[in-house]
Amino acid sequence: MALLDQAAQRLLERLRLKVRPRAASGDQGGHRSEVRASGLEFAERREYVVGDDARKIDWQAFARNRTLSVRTFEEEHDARVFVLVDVSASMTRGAPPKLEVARQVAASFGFLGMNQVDRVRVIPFSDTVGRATPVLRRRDDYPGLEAFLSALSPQGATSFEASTRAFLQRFPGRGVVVVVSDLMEASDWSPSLRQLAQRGHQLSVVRVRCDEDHSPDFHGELELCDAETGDLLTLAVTKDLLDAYRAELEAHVARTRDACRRLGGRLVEAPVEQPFDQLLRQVLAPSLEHL
Amino acid sequence: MTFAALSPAALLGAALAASLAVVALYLLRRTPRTQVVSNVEFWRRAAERSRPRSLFATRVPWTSLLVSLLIALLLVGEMGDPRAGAGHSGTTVIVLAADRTMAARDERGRRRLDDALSIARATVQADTVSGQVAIVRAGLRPEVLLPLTHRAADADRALRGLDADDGVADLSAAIELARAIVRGTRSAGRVVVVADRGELPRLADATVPVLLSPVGSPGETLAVTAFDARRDPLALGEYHVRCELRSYSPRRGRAHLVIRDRDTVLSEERVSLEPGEVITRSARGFSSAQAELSARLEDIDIEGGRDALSRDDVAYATVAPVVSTRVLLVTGGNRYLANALSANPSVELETVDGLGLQSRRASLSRYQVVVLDRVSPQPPLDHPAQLLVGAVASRALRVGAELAAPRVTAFAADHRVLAGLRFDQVQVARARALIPTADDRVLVRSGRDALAIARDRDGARVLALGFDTEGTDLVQRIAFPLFMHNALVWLDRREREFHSWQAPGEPIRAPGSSAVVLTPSGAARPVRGALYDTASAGIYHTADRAIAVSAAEQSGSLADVEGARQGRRGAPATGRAPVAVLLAGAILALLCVEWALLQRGRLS
Repeated sequence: MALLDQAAQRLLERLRLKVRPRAASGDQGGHRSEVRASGLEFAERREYVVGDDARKIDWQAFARNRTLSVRTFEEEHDARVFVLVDVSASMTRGAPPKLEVARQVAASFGFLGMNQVDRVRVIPFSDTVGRATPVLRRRDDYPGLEAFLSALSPQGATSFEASTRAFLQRFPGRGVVVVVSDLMEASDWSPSLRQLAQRGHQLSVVRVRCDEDHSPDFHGELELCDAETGDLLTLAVTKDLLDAYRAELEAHVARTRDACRRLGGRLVEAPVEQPFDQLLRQVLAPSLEHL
Repeated sequence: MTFAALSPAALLGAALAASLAVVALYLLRRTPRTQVVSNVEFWRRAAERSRPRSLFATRVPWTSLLVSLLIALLLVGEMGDPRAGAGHSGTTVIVLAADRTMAARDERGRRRLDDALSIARATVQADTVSGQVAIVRAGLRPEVLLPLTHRAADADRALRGLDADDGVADLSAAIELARAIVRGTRSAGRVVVVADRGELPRLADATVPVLLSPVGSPGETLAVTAFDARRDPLALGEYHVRCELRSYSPRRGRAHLVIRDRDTVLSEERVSLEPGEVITRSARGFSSAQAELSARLEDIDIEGGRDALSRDDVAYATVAPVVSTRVLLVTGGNRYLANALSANPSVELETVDGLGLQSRRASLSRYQVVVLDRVSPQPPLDHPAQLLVGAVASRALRVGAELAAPRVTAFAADHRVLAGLRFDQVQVARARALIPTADDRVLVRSGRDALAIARDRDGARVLALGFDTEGTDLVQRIAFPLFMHNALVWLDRREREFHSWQAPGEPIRAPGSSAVVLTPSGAARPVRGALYDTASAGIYHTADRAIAVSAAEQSGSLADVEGARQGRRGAPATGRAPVAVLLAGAILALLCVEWALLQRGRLS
């Protein structure tokens, strides 16, 4: 079964991924860059200084104002889009499983990138990054992306810190980094996000969540088994404990959201119980130029 | 406190078993089950954060166990049917009065019967601990409401929905029935009478002790003490009514007296009664083919008091439709008889002589009554209603010697034929003594000789007079038409049609295998054995007539309990709730506590 149906693809064809200029790459492409060069997009007119290319002097302006000025243009570069997909064992939880929704979200971002001829790479991660897709640039590459995502199998425990370190080593260029994860790792994600931002990446975090994680409703004496590590914890689950758990998880998500915001990124929620068309609009809205 | 349902050993065993079950369930509840979660670290941190700090909170699981144990033990106690006190150890038969005055209400609106039921239940609760109890309902007819039992629950079921009859209870018969039950057990026992009486009826012997537990408080009431209706003999089709009211109150009372025929108001009058006053109201000129009447006191206002009994505010009566009686007078010529019969508007008279009788023998069934004036037909007539005037000896009637100027020494004033008549002044010049058989009723007697007899045998009625119209001044008296009317009514078996009402308890006759009676509430009730027992007042209907059942003449004072309340005696009358109810309340409270703890999330 296709990850994106025809309706979703038609919707995505009308959308455009917003890439900030400093996140664009050095190659010619469709995104504005910070470089003032010989592009086609007019940027500004400024006073001529010694050393400027005499060919760029605006003679028509000189005729009107009797002052020498030069016209500058923005160079349009393409972007790298890195979609980091959490494939840890905890992604099997939920109904439907969180991994299934994560695949659809990753396919959506990949589709968007390929649709605007960016260089898309989808990289699975759990305790480290796994084998990534080759660079995908054209719409023709989308079936390969679907096949790659469909073949992902959940395993291992989440270590975002180790995964980030490995990602930065293996993929040196800057670009747009979309992290699709359930955030179900209790350690602080802020340092790793900061490292990504410092490398010049534009951050976007999609939290795939399910009710079982977000608002569990079990009570009584329970032996809790960690889906990723198999660790056991015996607890008497009471209303107070449930409240404390929800508060703990909310605090973790809030920390991550604040870190994203401080670093110029955005964290959006993707509840698995929500219909996919609504979820898609909700997830993509902050990352789009036009909707 | 004692336990009626379980012995101490059984109770202890049950308590032990229940405790073990609760502990086992508690341990089972504390055995964890596995639940896979995405990450246990969050749970670990949450557990650290929500760790209870107060001593109470840390001991909540143990508190839960203790609460559960307490609930289980209380339930076991409840199963044991706990009772306060030991009660009577032998047989107790409760006689529960359920007659009209037991419906009287006190200031709080509570019936005397409700008080009696409370006492009866308390007695049952106490006396079934180590004895057995039966209940006799003392209504219009005494009946065993509950046979001897050791189970208090049986009594509860039997007493549910009990109502009072519209009439006076035969308390003596009910007490005798209760004593017979006690004697039948051949063990020690007692009878407890719960009634609104000041004194018990006098008993023939004291072999079984009888205790009185009086209920109710004295009350005052305005009552309809008589209500009657009868057809007007001077105006065919019309009837008149008579209503008697009485005040059983030490205060002045006022009310509206409303007389209705079904839903039509015939008369409405404001009446005022002084303390203890009796007033009578009559009205005439009403006309109806068949009236169904009620006289009701409405808007009763007793100065500074209240009417305690509503059931005596209403009385019922019916007026039967006019039915003509076809009479064949066989005479050689008797103007007294002919005139007396033809003056009766409800008589269709045909007069023949002896020869004419022979020609009508085949069609005698057309006549309801045959009057034979000094005639002795041969062979004797085969007719179910015959009036023999100047009776002549025949195969059916033996006649004795001729009497000269016999003096009337006795007459049966209670017989329907002589209703409203006196025969002691009647002169008889000559007569023949009648020789009655064993089942004949002598109506008029002169010394040892019978002058008139009434025979009701094998479905046939015969009224025989030993004198004829020539030999007495009876025919010249103004009461003679009434005597003839009475004779026709009795011979035609229409006595009941001249009763405008009957008392509660008297059965209604409704012959037929599938006959039904419509009760005053409109419910159709099947009739068994052609008789339907009435217990409440109102208008009943059979297929062919309406019958009024009225308790007006049984109205009486509601102050009889005054003396008894001065010193209550005999029966246990506790106002406390039974122990079982208290235990059930405690269980409920504990369950609420446990629920509240659970809702606070402090119980595992």
